Amino acid sequence: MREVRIDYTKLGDTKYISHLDLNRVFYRAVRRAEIPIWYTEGFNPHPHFRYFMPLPLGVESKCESLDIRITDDAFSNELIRERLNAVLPEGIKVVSVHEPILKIKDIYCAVYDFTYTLDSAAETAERMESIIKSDFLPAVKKVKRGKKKVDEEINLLPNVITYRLDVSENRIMLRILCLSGQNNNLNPMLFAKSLERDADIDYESRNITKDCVLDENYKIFK
Amino acid sequence: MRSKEIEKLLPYIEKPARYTGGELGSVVKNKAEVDVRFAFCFPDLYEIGMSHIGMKILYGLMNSLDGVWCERCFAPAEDMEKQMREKNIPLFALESGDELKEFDFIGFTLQYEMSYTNVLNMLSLAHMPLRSKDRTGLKNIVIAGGPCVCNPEPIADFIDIFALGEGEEVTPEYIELYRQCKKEGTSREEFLYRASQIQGLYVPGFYDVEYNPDNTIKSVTPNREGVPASVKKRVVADLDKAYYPETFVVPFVQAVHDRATAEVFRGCIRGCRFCQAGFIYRPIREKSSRVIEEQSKELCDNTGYEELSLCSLSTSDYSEIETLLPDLIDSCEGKKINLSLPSLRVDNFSESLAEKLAKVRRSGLTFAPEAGTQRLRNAINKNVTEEELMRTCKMAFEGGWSQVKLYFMMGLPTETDEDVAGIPALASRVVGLYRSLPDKPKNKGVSINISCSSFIPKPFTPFQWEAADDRQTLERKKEILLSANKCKKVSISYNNSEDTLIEAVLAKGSRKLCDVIEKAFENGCKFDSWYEFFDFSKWMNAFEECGVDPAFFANRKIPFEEVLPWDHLDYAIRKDYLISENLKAHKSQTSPNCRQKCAACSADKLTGGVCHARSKN
Repeated sequence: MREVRIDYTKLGDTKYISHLDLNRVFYRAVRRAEIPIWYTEGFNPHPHFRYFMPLPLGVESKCESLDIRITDDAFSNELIRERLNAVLPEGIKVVSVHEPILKIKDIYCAVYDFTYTLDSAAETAERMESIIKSDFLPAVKKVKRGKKKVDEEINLLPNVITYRLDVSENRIMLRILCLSGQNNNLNPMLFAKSLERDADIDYESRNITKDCVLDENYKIFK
Repeated sequence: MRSKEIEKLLPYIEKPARYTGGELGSVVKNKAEVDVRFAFCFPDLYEIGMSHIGMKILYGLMNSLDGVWCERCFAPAEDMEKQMREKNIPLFALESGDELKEFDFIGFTLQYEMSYTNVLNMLSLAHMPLRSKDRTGLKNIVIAGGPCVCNPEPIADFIDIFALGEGEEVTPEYIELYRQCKKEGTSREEFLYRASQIQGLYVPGFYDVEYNPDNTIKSVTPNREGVPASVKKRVVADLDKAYYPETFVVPFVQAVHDRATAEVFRGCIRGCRFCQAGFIYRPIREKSSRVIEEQSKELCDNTGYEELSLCSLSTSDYSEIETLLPDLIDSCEGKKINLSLPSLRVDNFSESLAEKLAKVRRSGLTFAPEAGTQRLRNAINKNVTEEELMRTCKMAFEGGWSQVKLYFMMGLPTETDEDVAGIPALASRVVGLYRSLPDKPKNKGVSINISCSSFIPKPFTPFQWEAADDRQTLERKKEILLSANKCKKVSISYNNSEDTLIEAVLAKGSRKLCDVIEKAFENGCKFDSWYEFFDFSKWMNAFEECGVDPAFFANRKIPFEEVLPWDHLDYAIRKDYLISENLKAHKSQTSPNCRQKCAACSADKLTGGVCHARSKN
């Protein structure tokens, strides 16, 4: 038995597949691809899949990872990639299959791109920038207090490490580097919705894509 | 293409993958190569509709035809509907994202009466006129099929064509006809007329209903020359050769039944007098075990599903069950597939099969005695004896089970208070059985769950002339049921008498109901099968505003000689056979099942004499 890491994209409409549903998508794809996966031993055998940070619904990604266990050591990584790509839905594409190098606790930060098409891009971008520079972007988050879940107001900007804003005629591209580890992390959807509210972004279309995941030394997660 | 407005909405909508399509197995065609577009609409949520096997069959079948593109559409959930209405976004199909108005056919499947308001709601969301007479041009033909179509009169004003019976053969026929009419540039009316010439297609607009002063029906007659006085349902004679999909659309959002399904047979030999499915799906036609095994394997391989279920009424009656089950159990075990079996009557099986079955993981044990006393079980022809129930429960308890679910009905014809009290009494005898067993599971308490639904008389059954109990009677019987239960290990659930009344009206209603349903929809009724949405007062207001008495349809016993709203539809079951079964019910007499003795119901006239209840035994 060996463990392999599958790096894949989640683009286009697959951004609407929830984390829980995604697990079934992979399970069935692995079965269709006839990859010799290891099953837990017990009365109800099931495969052992491990995901990393769940992606919020509606966010696309070029850099998702999943660890699976296979029973046949001779079954090559390249064959896994080929077979899976033949049976995965459009938008989910295996980029590479390799031995896991870093561990989940090594994940520290991530890069996200927010692209808006809209009228009056320049004015909107100015409003966005002044909010980001103000270091205060409030959002309401559900947090656990004992057994109860309560609403708590938090400031999202301390989790943003750095940003870059590019504006063209009817397009704004905001790129952020933000904390994305197990303890501190920024929810990009919550960030987008809060920024849209406070900067009054009246967009025609919006796209949020996770570009890469990095460790503490800003090395790409592998 | 899905519009930008929809795209903007989706991040704010619950379970957006319900509306995006793109699932594995979904079919996208090049519009330039398509000349007939069909929107298959299921009038309920995605999760419900995606569990339906009939949709999977017709979706695959239509998409296997050149130039035909069948897409799916479901009722949007409340949050999505609200946004669509606010932003004036019309209802769209999942595969292309195109609005329904662009489609040639809008096809609904009517699986339960309580989905009728959703049909209207979906037409309204599609920005289409609700009534057939208000739709013009050779486009947007609204066609409906499914079991409820055996009495389609309550929604006759809204639907252009009803397809009676099974769809595998008639669907390509009317699509071809449509293509021809489009080529010739005929009118909508001409297409509908030619459709009415195809067996199984009922065009309600070509029939006039005349009423007697007391609101009963005087006659139903064609209002156009050449339209048949009676429309006969369609069936497929040879299921081995009938189309069956090689793959399913595998949903992202988990459907209620999210698994591969192998159809085993159609029809049922049992002849339970309350059961509509047991009559309208006749004659009995089995698939051979070889074909079932091949189709199951192909489906599991193509979908990657980890669960396979068998689909039929009373699966234990399959004549090749002793071959099929061991083969499926073996092949599923090797592939880590859960074989999900219905409640089989294990006591009829050979010892080796029973042993094999014991290894299959099963979620729960259910049993449907349907009535609390032998007298009433005889009257409804549910030929299950208490002895058989006890024997099955004994085997189950000895096999480690301690939970049993029992299904019953309340309000059955001839039912007395003693019959109702007999329900918990039977359950407590099962508890007694458990306690008496020396080999009962250790450290586990027994629990018996009774699920008691209200009987609703349905068309084409021997009970079609019977009245459903009115609400007061049902409430009184509920009290008896609850107070007769003295055992703490027995829990009882039941459905409410308000839905029962509405379903009973819709099941047996005439065209007088069309106005009521439209009014109910206008009053805000939708998702009536969901208790969160069902609003009895809105329905009652609709009845009052239309001057229709619901009790006339639901709670009135109909004399045999009265013209029934569905009498001009031919489901190939002799009426005098249904009458004789009704009379026997009132004498608490049973009838043998179709394998023991053919009742000559005449359903085999549709298949040229083929009925596997007879010829295979």
